[in-house]
Amino acid sequence: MERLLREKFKKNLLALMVSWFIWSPFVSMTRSYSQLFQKELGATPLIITVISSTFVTTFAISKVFGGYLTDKYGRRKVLVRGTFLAAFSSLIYALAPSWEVLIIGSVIRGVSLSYQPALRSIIADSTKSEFRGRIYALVNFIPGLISALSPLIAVYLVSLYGLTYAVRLMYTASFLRGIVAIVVRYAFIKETLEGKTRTFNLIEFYKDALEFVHKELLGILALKFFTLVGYALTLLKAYYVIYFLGLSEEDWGYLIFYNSLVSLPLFPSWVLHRQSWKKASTRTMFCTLLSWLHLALSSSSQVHFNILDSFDFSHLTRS
Amino acid sequence: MSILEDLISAFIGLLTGYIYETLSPQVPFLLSAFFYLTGIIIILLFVRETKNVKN
Repeated sequence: MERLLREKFKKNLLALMVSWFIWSPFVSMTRSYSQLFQKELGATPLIITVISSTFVTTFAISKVFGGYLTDKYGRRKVLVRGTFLAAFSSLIYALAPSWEVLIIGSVIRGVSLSYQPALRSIIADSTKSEFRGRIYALVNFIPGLISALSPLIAVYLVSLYGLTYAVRLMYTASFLRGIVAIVVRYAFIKETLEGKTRTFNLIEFYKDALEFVHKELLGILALKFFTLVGYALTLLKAYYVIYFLGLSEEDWGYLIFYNSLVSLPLFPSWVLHRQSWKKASTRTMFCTLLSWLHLALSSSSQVHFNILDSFDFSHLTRS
Repeated sequence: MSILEDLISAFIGLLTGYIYETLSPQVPFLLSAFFYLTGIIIILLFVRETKNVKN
């Protein structure tokens, strides 16, 4: 590992991995049951999508400022403060008496994730450029691997304590683990932005990036748009499967666990690059299309065996 | 680019909740299948694969 990292910052990646190891499983645990928790707090399907959209919109806007702040004030400062806000949002979810409070939590979580550009920059700055691809693959793989068991623990907690109390417990654990992650990141991550902090115009900063997208990537945008919309339309999958099709909460947890296992990027990138990108993408999209059709046309809890949905090969096309 | 993607996702997400409540819970999934089908047609007809460059 040492030869892959820049000598000066070799503790950075280790600190990030330790913090993920501590925190990620608990964050993943809460995801399986978040929609059901929102419903228990009085949210209708429309309100659930409002909560989700509030988070996504805030996240999108905060990313713009996150990238700017990362390059202006330094990666470490943005990362540590963002991690604190993310952990704090878990506490808000844990204590929320009604869905209205969840909206406040969503806004705070969306703002907190403005640290993501800082996170990527720290990984890039701490790694020698010739090994960056492998480090990114490792960095994506490890949180996925250690979080794969999370849905099973979530199922156990729900069966033991009931949905609402169990999810509150999960959010509380996520908050406490987040605090530990902050301490690790604060103590061991070194600033990688070398030289003086810079000042530049935010609009100018993104102008070049937009010009590049316009010139180079316009062809693929149409495809991206249709798959993006197709995916966003399935936002209420958990709600639909449980409250409309009648799947039990425990079985939903098992399905998520199964899905997280088959979605792990187990194939090395050289295997993926040997197959045709076009064929792999078409196959993925066809499987996804069948799974949504299957869900839409299912009339009962036959959805237990919705294998196509679980066999999400999207990792084949991520690279 | 991902910022625009997030904003589109947020809007479509809201629309999904509206359709789910006002039309039928199955409609968003049927629409999703339609969008993926369109994506497949675009990939097959309009997207050209670049050849891998051997080192």
